Amino acid sequence: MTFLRGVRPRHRSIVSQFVLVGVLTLLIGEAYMRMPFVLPPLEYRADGELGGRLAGNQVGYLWLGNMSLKSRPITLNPDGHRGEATDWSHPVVLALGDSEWFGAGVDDSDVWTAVLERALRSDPRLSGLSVVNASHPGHGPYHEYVVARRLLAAHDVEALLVRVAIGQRYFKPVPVEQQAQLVRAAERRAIVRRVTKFGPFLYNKVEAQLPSIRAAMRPHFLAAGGGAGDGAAPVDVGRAMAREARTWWDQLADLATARQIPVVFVVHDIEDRPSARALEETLRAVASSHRGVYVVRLGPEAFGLERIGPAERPRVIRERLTLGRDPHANVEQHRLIASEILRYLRQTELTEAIERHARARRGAPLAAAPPQ
Amino acid sequence: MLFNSWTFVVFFAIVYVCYLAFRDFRWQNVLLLVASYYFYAAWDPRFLLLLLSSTVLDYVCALQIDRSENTRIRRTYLVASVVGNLSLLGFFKYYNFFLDSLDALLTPAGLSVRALHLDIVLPVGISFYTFQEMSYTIDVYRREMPAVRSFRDFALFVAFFPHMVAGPIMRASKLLVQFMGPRTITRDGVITGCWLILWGLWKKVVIADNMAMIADDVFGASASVSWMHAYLGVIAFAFQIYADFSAYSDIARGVSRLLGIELMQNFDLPYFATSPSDFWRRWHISLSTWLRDYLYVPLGGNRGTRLQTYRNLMVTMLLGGIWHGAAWNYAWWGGYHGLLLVGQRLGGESWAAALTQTRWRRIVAIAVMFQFTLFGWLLFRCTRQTRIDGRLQDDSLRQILEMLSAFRNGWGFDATSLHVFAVIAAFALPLLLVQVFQYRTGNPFVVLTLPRFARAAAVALLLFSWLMWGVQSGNAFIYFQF
Repeated sequence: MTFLRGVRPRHRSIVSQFVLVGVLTLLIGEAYMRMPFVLPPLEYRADGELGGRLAGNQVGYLWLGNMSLKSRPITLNPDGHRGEATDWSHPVVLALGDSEWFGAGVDDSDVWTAVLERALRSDPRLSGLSVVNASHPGHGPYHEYVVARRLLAAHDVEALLVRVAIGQRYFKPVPVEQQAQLVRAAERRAIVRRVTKFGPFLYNKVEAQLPSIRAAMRPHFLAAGGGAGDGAAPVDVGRAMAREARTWWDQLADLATARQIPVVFVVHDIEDRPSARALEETLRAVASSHRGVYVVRLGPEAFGLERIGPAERPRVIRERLTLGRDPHANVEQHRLIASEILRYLRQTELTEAIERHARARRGAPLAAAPPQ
Repeated sequence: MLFNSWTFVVFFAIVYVCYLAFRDFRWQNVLLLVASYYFYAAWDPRFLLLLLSSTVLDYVCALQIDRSENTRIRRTYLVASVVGNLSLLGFFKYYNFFLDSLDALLTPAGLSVRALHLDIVLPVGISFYTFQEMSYTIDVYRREMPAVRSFRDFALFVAFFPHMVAGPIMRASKLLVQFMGPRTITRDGVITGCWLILWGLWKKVVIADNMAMIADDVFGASASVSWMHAYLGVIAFAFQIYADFSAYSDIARGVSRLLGIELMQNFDLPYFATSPSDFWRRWHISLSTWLRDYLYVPLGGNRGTRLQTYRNLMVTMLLGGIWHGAAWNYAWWGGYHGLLLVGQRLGGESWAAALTQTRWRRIVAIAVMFQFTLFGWLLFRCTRQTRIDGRLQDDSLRQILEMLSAFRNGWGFDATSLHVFAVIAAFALPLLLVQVFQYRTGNPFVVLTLPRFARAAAVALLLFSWLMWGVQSGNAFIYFQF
């Protein structure tokens, strides 16, 4: 390779330059992430049954868009729920879901639970009601059941709102035999975080790139079909998820029925997928075998998309109802979710049921909390 | 296949290893040609046929032009080449645009040509490679260079992957000749090539993609934004489009340098321009020089009367605007820059020269020209389409008017504007700082001349900000759509 003669590098000089750049990058990163005015990423704590969960009492951000977009500042109350601290002595509607309902990407005041709470409180009979957002990124039917079980054991709740979406099929239950192992791993990570903050960030960054790197290894345009995402999930995918989730939905419904608390399963199906129809079918079967279990579907019509064709719908959803760079809901979608759920609660007279329930259990109307 | 994707990293790593392994430049050319066709097919394999037919047409036409001494025959082949390229461009890029415009004109008379509307997908890079091929046949016709005999070399000139999708639009006399002999890869070439790639990627994923979020928000809500938000949105877009397009050119140049091939500089600190003509000497240089040599000068340039010169300027800039896309906003943008150039000529060249005599005058001229440039970007970015009777229709004019009358929604001197301004400044200042050094030293590689530790710190800062704020979701470069 004679033409390479001119290229042959002075190895030592180049390697030392690379090492210097690497060390300086690590130092700059570590220094930046320890600056007091820099908003930190949200911290997790060990939880074997749930596979870890966000620690309470903190303000921070989540990484979105394949770790290239920081969320708006997120406030977690002492219970680890989104928003301000909950006064459990007052009536509560509990919302359970994944990152979509958690409100990753929007401000605390724009999350649909906050919007719904303001709307419900505008009715003088419900002015003391809180909508507690116990949703959590990565939570599916199993996690929703576990969170509901824990909270219902500790607090009185007037109603449950549970998100169901085909995307939750990836959020699997944590096997019992792995729980202790997960706790130990979380504790190890916490030790590492005390030593370095930039290190874990780098590790996660690289990990987030791995699927893209793997995908880059094969010529995608030669592959038939090009891979099926959620948008193409057929009805069988929905049925498979429904089979797995049915046990958790049944247990959740049992839990609520035993306490005479209404449960509303909200099938969040903005793209009108056949797979989500299969979920809805199973949930209606759960509802028919339990008293006080409701199923509502937030389809394209709930978001003003009924006149947009299926081919164009993903683009319109991305532009109008998501963060754009990330598929999570934007402020507008959160507003529409809140408004649709409010409409459903009123239409099915669940608002009255909530009021009656609170009155019966707490012996007082839902008056506004007295000033502290 | 985007430069800012892992697919490209893997692709280029394989190509580069094979490239270095081949001793003979002819085999290297074969490898680059196969790689280029693969690169292009990654967008859509169907368009390869289009690229190939266009390549064959110009190869044959140029050979015939070169071989013949008969002016009529030479002209016939030249016309065949130009008409062939313009037909491709016209059909794939402008057919529906002209049809829709005609339909809008006929609608008041109760007529319609909507039935002729076709669902056409615009082939990536068609505007770039057709212009490049036309320049080649015209140069051969003008006897400025001989026709190339090797189809392999000519096909590589057309399809060379680093620049085929979004330029620079290279002349055959500068690029084709590099494929006709062995290349030398120098240590300096590798170092500066790596720097260009790193700098380009940083501009794309850190500056352009973050500025895009601000610009998209503002232009997406043009009917309701305040004056200050509209203004900041246009500034964000100015940095987005510059960082985005110059990033592509830098990466293309960097990748080519690693292969021992030199591509022309496409941007020369355009926001440091002191006048409209200075801006076009610095912005998208390969297109502006193409338009000058193959459109403005053949139209008569500035050789005729003043009015003829103004006409030539307007025609050139209008067509230059339309080249960017089949929509009226690009025509407004081109026309606006034409008017600026005419305005400069009306004011006299001495006026423009006087502006640059002292440092302070130069700073004021740069600031004023930047405001004129911003207005142009406002026209350029208003690309809104509205669905009327089930068909998407151009709504750019209304969007432009909304942005211009944003003060009706309030002046917007509030905390949100301050926050947006701070974000723009945080991203734009490092870019401007490096560019001020480049401007003052006249050296685009000024960072590489820094002492060892400072150079390492500069690169570390780039890497850190890339990791922390870079958008890794593989957003396409803006100029791909043109």
